[in-house]
Amino acid sequence: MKRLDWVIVLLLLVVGLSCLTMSAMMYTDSTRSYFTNFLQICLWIGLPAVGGGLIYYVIKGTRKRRDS
Amino acid sequence: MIRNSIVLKLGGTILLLFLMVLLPLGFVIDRAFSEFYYSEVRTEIDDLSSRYAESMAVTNHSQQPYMIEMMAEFSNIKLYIVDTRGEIVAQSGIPSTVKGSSIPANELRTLSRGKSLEKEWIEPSDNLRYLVSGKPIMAENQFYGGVYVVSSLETMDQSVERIRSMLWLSGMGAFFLALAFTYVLSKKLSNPLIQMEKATRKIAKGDLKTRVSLESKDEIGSLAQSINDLAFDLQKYRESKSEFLSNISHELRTPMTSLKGYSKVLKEKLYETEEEKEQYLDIMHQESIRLTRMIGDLFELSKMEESKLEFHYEWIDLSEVMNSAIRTVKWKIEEKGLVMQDHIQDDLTYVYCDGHRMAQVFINLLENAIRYTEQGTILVEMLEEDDVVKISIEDTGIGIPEEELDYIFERFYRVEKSRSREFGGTGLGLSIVKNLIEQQGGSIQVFSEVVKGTRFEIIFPVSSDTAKEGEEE
Repeated sequence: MKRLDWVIVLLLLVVGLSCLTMSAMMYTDSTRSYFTNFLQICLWIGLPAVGGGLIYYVIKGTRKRRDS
Repeated sequence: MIRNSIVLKLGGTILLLFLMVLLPLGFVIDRAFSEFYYSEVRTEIDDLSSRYAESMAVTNHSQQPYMIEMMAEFSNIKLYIVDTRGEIVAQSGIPSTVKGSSIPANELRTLSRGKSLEKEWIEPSDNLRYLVSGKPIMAENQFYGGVYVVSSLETMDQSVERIRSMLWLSGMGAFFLALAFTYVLSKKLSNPLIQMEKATRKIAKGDLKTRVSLESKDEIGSLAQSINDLAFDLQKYRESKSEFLSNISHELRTPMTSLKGYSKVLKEKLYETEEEKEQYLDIMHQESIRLTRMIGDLFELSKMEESKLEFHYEWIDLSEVMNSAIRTVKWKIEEKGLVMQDHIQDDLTYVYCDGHRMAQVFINLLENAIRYTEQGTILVEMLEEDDVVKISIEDTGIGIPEEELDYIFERFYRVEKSRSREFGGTGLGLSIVKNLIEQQGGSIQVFSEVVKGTRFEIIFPVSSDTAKEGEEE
């Protein structure tokens, strides 16, 4: 992937996260809660990624041990 | 090309699938919220109208409707109360409901039967939607009228509308996130395919040195490795083929030149003695034999490529075939001053194969051994062990470098180009041998060390299964 591709991806991520944060802030209106919500959404996105990564490395480790 | 690109197809499909999940999910969430609010309002007014109706049924006082009207006004509750004739006797907070007016007859009938009713209604003065819950006032099975509690659905509609906007916004956010992840995913997944497509195009155009550099251990990695192997084989094949063509043209030209030259000498009687003439005739004879053999090899190969080679299978004593092959090449061994040793086991089990083809195989391998051995021994061994017959033909010749061993059975392959000039041969012999053995169910292996010599090992199974198969055939 070229640098332009990564810029597009970053832009889409920022827009997506902003939309989700704004949606979560429909009934509140403070900068602090904006950032709290933003971080929480990031956490929810990261959670499956971290879980999937952990499962992947556990399976990979098990396979390596079995092969050796 | 862009419209047909794999990135677009893959990305588009993933996004489509995502939308196919997201849109119905959004609809369901929207419905769930609307139903929830509606049910909350309904429960609230139903509960309230029941309580008012019960309270009026218990006391049953003529002033009770007016007291409830006052309480409702104080509590900002919208209601109206009807008597046994359906006439509105008290009302609170509903401008269009006038005291003295009547409710529709069907509603009165429902109430008088002791049944509740519920309806949605639009208030003409403010054009707002209201939910109405009507309860009969019943005491000892006697109908005393009804209580209608009215609640505006406007607040609920506003809340649902707000949630709907929130859902749209979060849906868009999720869509953009999905777009970003799909973009990365489709690029990452399609990148190896695009790389391979470019490489295969280059290979197809003739750039056989092109290789795909992919390290993954999955199917994509395996495919890349296969493409690299294919390119390598193709490169090797093309090199061997062009080398073979140049060799074969040279090989054909050499005897043809000899034949032409010596026939001219004989025709123009340029020889001096009869002995010289005999010598020239002998050379012409040898050259014609060589030409015939080369044409024969080419013919065999072309038949093998088309799978048209016929085998006449029968139970054969391979030791007899080997002894016959040794007798055929004995004069060549003696001519070169080599020593021939053979260790052939007695009572070898018969093998189901084509005797003529096996003789061809043995003679070919023995001639190879003689050709590349200047001094030393040619050792032939035949023994039976573990349901197989092992045939080994070993020489003490110049040997084959280890890195070349994998290719010596390939058609047109020569260990060194100079070998064909020096030792003769067409470069097809070992390929024919391997083909003949494998087509008869055997296998051949080669072991060699440069300067020390080469050993070809043929294995033929003699198991009962093979025998049975043979009998069936």
